[in-house]
Amino acid sequence: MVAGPSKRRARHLVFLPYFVFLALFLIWPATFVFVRAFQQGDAPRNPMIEAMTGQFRGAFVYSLQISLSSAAIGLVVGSLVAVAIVRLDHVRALRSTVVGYSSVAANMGGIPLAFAFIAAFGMQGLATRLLREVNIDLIGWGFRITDFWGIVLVYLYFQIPLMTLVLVPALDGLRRTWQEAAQSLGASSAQYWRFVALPILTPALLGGFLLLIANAFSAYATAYALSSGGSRLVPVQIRFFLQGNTITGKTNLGYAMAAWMVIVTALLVLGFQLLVRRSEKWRS
Amino acid sequence: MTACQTRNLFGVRVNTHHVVTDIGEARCGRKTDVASTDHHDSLRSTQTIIDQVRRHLLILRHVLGVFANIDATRGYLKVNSSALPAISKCSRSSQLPYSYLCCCVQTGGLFFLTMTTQHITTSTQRRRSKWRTFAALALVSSFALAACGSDEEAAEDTVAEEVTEETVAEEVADTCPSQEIVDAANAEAQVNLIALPDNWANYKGILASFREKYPNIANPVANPDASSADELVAYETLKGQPDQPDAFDVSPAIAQETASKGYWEPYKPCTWDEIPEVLKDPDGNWVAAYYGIMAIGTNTTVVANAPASFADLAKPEYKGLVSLNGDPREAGAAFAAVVAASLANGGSFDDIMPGIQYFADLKASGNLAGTDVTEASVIAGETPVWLDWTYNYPGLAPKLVENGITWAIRVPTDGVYGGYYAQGILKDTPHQNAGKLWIDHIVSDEGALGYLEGGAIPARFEALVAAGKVTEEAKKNLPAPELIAQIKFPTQDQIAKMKEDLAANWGPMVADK
Amino acid sequence: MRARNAVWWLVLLVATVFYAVPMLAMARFAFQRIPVIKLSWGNVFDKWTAAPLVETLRNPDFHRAGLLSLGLAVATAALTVLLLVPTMTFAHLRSPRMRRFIELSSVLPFVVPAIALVIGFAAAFRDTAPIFVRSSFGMVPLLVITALPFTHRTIENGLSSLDLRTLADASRSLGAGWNRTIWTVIAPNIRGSIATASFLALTVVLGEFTIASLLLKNTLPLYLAYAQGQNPQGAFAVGLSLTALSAVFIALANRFGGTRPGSRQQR
Repeated sequence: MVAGPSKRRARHLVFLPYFVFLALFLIWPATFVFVRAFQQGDAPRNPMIEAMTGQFRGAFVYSLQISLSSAAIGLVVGSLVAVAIVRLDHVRALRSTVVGYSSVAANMGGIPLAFAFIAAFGMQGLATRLLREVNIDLIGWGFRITDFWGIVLVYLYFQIPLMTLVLVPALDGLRRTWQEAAQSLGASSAQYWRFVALPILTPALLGGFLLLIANAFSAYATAYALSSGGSRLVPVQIRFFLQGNTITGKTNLGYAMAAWMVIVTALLVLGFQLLVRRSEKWRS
Repeated sequence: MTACQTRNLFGVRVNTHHVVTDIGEARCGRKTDVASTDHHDSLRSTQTIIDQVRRHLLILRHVLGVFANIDATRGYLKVNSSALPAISKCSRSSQLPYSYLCCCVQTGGLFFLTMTTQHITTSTQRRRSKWRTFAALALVSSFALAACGSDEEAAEDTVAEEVTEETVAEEVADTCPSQEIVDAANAEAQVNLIALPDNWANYKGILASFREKYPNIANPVANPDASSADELVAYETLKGQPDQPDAFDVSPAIAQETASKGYWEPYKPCTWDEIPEVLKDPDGNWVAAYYGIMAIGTNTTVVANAPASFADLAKPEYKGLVSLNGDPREAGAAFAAVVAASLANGGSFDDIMPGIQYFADLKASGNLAGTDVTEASVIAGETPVWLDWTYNYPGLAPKLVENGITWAIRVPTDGVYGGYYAQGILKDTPHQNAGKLWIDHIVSDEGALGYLEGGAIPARFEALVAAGKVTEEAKKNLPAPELIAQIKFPTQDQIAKMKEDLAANWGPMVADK
Repeated sequence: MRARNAVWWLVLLVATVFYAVPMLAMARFAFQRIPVIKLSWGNVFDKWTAAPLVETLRNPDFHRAGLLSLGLAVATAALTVLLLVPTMTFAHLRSPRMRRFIELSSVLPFVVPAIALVIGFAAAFRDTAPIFVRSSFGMVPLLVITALPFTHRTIENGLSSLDLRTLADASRSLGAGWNRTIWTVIAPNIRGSIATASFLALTVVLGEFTIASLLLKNTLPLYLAYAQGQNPQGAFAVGLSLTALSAVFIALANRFGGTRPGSRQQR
């Protein structure tokens, strides 16, 4: 049915409440951050520049390293779990249990999660102790829950479920009939995956990977609760400036770091959206 | 479209045209206005539009009333009387351009809202309603601007109230605190406190004794776990609200920042003269009601040999066992630990670098563990050796006993550092007089004894001892008197410089290694 | 086929162990009053007590915080559904471009860190509409935004599995307005997704700490963080129970919601 221009405009007005809501409660507060990030006050350099130099650049690098590592491992393991529960669909209640726990675990973080890992894998952790009984001495090998790989391990607790949640609906879109059709045409399982399933899943995989990176990059409460290891991460450094007891008068630097965080994540989102658009071309 | 009628965003029915679909004659479903199924103008449909506009305006007014703190029935009057002044208020606001932006956003949003309330389909109706729409817009825009302006009015009102109250009360009168202050405080019936955990220097007991003294005054504590900077943010965020904090308990650094922002309300409590000079602000902005010494706590269940000095902490037997109470760039207790280490290693209040170097070495040797010290980590045994204020240990005691843990507290022999926290009342808060009573209470005898029980040294300790009010029992949680005698406090400038050095060097030298 | 499945069972086993171990360690800490260093095979079953949990549950501060969080969760879920269901229905029906746009915008909350969001929010609304900063329920829009990535995905899945155009056209041709169509025809068909989205909103509210702490609202996570310093075992016991409960609710919503994608395909 052909609609006149006024009708089309009226039709698009139904989307207004959603976008007004986002603009009012997400975009507008974010602009405040940027405004304050550019205010120099009586600091020697513009905070936006200072936030990218010296120890602060190191913080960004470290944050990105942790985000990428946890996102990469989360991508692999999360996808495997997603495939597992779709393959084992016939088992009653398995899927809903796993999806249910994944939904909760993906939102976990902060002190409870950090402490759970400390209680399990810390110096006096339960798992550490049990492993020592079977002669695996984690602490002796130099594993510390507050080091790089310790933090990655803790982050995986919410990265893996997030990937699972993203991928399961995409896997549902892969019909069994396609695999059977491919087999009947002589393709092996590996070929099916490579030429049929993977291209279809690529948008979801890429989108999930992006989501995981952004999620890890902005994770704050967990890093803070893991403390000294986490103090090298950007969100925690922002806290030092905006919420700490000791450093005062440097809030603009904190805002600048927050502004850079927004920029980095926005770039990630944009970049991957372009990739996803490219890989989805076959659909049209 | 296939329906006779649709509903707009507010659920009000609007007539559209009548169409027969391929499943048969369309039922219009509603009794009203079925007769006007043709889309020629009729007096009837014009009247409907006018009614709709009126209804929409009513709804909008109620909605705006909620969002702009205007009483919905009074709001209409406010528009008429204060629309023009409101516009100028908007542009003269101190928060320009933000307030201006707010007005534009609100007006723009309302513009769109009004537009969507009209689901017009015919050109004739559209023409006629355009004028009505503009009229509605003008009314509505002035409403929005009034909304932007109204809060400043409200804020001014509360400020005016505070000023008159303060001129009534006096700082020092015949009885101390004066009866006028007590009466005014009882009328206020509440004092908003923040960041006072139960286990910190026995604030549980001190809050309870305040309630005993003044049974009519409630003393709720918001966000007990807040940092000193959180307290500042809370004060700014809740400006003009009834739950704005009335009194602070903050680290010296944040006390300085509060003073530079002009937030303190100077008030000298009754016992002002008995408080040592170093423990109060010369202008009366704040007092330091208690202080403590940095001490080393050891979980002797996990580590048998308790270290007694900073030199001990560096020994190889404590590898991976020593923890700081947070990051010194952020936590007051950790900052104090670094200063104490600096004093132990040849530094002074002007030079914090030896302390930073000490911890860098500690980290390099593997003695400094990464885990944050919390009550949970102490009980779990994860942080067997940690540095904290002496007044934080008594609060832990019951839980440690419950879990079968033994512990020892030692003040390091080579670096004795005492630290205080500053308390005072703030400007323009809802309960000025109750706040004054609170400050008086914490430096009074009852408050001081409460702090003693928590293991903190009250500000008027010497005066109390001289008056014989401190029993041996009360002193049991305190460090030894000769250690207390050694305590000196750094000046504000020294603290500021130490902070700068720490912020620049802790990251590269310790945290990032 | 059985042998193939064994691989996937192994994957699930590893995942389960990974998910369970930290939770079990925390549970042991919360309920057993023996430090790990003193733990031996001999006293593994000693000194288990539910006292910390009971103590915390009896605390009136906990009740206050719990009620506030519950109220916030209900309000967040309601606002989310109110906002998302009509918008996404129209996006599916009218404009695929808009659908893509909404999907992109649902990832935006990840781009702005919570700490920046809340400080900007307080500064922005302090002077214009202080009700957001003053009222406990002023947090609800921020919570809706925080939950947006998850809830959007859930409702998107639900709507994708329906034959939306047929339903909408049929309902409209029978004389129902859009309001009625969305809320009495479409919504019941995606009730599983709506239920899941509501429980996701609940989990977000139970886990959201930064916003509540900066706006000084005494919600449950804030209370638990504070209690962790006063009574750690009780706080973790309660935290664990809440986690378990949320997982059970979401699992039930998934199982009995009736909108499993793929279950209604006619193609």
